[in-house]
Amino acid sequence: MFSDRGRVLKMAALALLLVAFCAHSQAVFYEPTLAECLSDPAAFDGTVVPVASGATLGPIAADRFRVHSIDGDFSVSVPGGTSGLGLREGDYFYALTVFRNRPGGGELELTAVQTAPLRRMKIAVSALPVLLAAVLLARVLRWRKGAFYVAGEDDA
Amino acid sequence: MPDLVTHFAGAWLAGRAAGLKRFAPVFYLGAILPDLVTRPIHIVWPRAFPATQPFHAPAVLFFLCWLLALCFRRNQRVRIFWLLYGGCLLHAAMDMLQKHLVGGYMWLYPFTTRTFSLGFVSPDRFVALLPLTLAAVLVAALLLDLRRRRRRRGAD
Repeated sequence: MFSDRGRVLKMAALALLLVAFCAHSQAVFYEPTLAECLSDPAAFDGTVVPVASGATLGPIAADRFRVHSIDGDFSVSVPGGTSGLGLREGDYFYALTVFRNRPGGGELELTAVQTAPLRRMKIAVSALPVLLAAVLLARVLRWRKGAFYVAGEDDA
Repeated sequence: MPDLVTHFAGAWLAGRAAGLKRFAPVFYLGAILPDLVTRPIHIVWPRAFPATQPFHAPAVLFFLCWLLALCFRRNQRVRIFWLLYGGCLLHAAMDMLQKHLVGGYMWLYPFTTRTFSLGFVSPDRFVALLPLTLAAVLVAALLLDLRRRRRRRGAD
């Protein structure tokens, strides 16, 4: 498993396997989008449509809010009203919605929402340990004859 | 995911408890590795989110750590592998505490794409808990040191 025999071949096979996992996961992961629902509103009526992947809140009205997402901007209606949900324009959020077929197209109706107001801060502070790990690794790692090694005395 | 400071602090405490010295940065790398190989892609290109999901699954991380261990000198590979993989498993254990409305991690991929978590804390709330987390880690580290000193005195 860790021997030098066929090392490059093993590394190439492992890299290929990891790429295959990524491709498989991307292929099997399916979530309907608003655009897909609007292409055939009757067929998608009642379908659960998750809203995530970097979506942020746009202007918020009493009974609906706008969403800025990678699929473009759209509105989500909130049957119980938006007050008390802790929504704030510009915040990241995750939501579960249901597509409702309406005359002239259709719209998403909110069933559950989880805001992530601290996500930007989380991304910012997460850069620090990456830098720290890089510095610590640079202090102990050496490169020789085509391989890394940890320099100095071995750990007990 | 909790922020990487929380992951790093957890790994630092675990590494200290295990008495890691020169090889400790490799363990720290393992503890941030699952996010290191996924988040930059996910943040820059949200549509690739499904493709990055397998890198939180212990089975897939096993192959990633094996690949990385092969980049090291032969006599250190086994140790490097277990330190990286141990860090990854610690990362996964901490991520399992989270609450997900949408998404979640496919812990048992490639055997199933089902997601689950313990649902204690929203992913971005770990940032708000950071001062408390760091204080708790420092107190735990101090207690560990005190216990070690007492043991040494007892042995003398």
